Amino acid sequence: MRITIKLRGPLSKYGPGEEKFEYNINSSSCTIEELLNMLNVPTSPVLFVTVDGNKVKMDTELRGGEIVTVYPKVAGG
Amino acid sequence: MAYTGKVLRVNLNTGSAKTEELNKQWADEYLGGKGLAIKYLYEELQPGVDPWSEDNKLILMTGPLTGTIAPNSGKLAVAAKSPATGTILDCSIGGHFAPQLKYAGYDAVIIEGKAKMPVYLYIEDDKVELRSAEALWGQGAHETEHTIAESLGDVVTLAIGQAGENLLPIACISSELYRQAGRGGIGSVMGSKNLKAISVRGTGGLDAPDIRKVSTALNKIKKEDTMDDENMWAYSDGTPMIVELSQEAGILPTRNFQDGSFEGYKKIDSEAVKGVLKAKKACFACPLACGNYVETGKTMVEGPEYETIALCSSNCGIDDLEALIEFNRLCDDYCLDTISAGSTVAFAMELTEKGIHDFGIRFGDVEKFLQMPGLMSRREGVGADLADGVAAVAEKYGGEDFAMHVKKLEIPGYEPRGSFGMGLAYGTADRGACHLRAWPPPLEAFGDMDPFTSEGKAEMVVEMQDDNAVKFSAIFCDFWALSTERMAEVLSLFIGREITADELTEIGERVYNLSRLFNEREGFDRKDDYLPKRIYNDKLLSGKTEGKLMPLEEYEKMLSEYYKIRGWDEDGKITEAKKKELGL
Repeated sequence: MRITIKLRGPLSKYGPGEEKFEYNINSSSCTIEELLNMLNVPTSPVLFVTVDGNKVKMDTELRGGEIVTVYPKVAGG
Repeated sequence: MAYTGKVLRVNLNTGSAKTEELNKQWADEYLGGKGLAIKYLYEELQPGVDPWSEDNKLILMTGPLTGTIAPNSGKLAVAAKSPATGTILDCSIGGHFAPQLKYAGYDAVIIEGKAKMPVYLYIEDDKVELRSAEALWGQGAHETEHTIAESLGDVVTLAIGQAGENLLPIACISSELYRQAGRGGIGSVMGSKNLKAISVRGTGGLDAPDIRKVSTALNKIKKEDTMDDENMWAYSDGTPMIVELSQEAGILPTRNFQDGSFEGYKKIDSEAVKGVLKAKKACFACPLACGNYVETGKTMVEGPEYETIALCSSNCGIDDLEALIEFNRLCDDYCLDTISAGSTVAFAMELTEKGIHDFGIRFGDVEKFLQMPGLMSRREGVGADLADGVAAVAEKYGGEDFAMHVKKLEIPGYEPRGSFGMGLAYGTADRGACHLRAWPPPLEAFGDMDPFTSEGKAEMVVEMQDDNAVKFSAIFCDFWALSTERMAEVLSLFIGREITADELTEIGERVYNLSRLFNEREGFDRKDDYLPKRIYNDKLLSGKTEGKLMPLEEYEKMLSEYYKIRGWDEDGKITEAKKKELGL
């Protein structure tokens, strides 16, 4: 299945370079956690993940066609 | 080697300056920066002092790492009694002033009294002069810095603009045009002393204890920690990244905190800012370079930071990025705290729309919005009232329930109804509503903790406050998320002894309690630790936090638990046992 991924900020280095890119998953379903594993994105710098603009848990399943945005941790304010 | 051992004390009444020994015992107990500045002020100020009188003191305080290549160590603590709140006030300014002061040979500067005519202070190593600032008075900070640079050359300057001169409780101090010691009216402390600017050049250096060992250790720490994925948000995006996070969590202040979601957020988020980004800027010894230098066809600024975006854009119903950048640049030149300025303008907008008092400005009115910094700083037109911040405006005209301040300091960019711990943090911060003493959103609104409960929040806020207190005393910049273990490791390289994380936590607790003791002496207690009634009574209107409010009983629960954990009584006063434990 095909999804759109946005790796925000410093996490973009785990993708092709551009923050936003298309990604093919050779499976009919896949959890957020599995997706991050596939991309070699470590979990410790991840703040949260949204699917189509809604914050989700790591065990949320993707079906295809979603926009997945991965946000980095921030300090201060 | 970590301290020069010298404090410069300047008396503006007599026009003289002398060097005295740094109090070493206090330096041991409080490290430097925030903690040591507060200790000096606690010992030297009489309770009840008028913050705009000659009896207030302005302290510039470095830390044990200042001037070294320790990452993110380049900031300066600036402290005084706050004209806005009457509490203790410490600010933190970046750029390059602190290292220059250290190289000039001083750990700190203490400025006393009031000059008869406008002056600026010039420090070049042993040479200390008070020069006439009569030609500079009435200028913005930007022209002031340029003029001083023309006559003195390569110096670093702290300056005030018209807002500080005109004694606005929302006036700040600026440096290198776009960096500030921002809150609590610190700029008006200089203004009240007729002190227009402070410029420094230091030609000395610091003794490095085994430079090879220290460099190797610091380079390793920089690569593995300071510049790891968890901290590089500052380099990749800077604080505008937080706009998306707050919008997603429903805690982006919108139209004077009537809502937590703003329909125009995409025009003011980090992607929008990157669209006009020209260069990154860093402070001394910082590899993160969080500064965004932006330029449009019509204006430029180093910024806008998240707080400016939140309080001056969404909070004012403005989604015009160019207008925001210009508003930011004007505030930086006049030297207005953008949090307080944005909040005051938003309050004026709501009062106008509700028919309570006509300030002639409504949410989204870009043209009037851009006139506000000038009107406020010069106390002209509607600015004459708005100059004094939301608490003063509410006292005069009403709308107290939605004058968004705690202890008269305007609330920063995180909606407490979507992050209950943030609400507690605002209520219990030492200088009034502040997000830099404890910052719960990453764990709550952006994290896994339930944001809409009091559960566990008191413990979290206490820990964060103590951590930040020692962090700002050692002087590490807020944006490096480092553990107390790491702080201890870096400090131990320079202070001539091994210091432990536990010792640092104790110092943090001591600093935080000392600031509370200062405030207690000024008459503050539980009654002053509450939020505006809007938070307890009004429901948010849309987005992820639609319908949310913070019930007062939940807040009371958090507050009581907070005092208990702190070892304070039910009135929020420090117990004798706790004072003894901390050596206060």
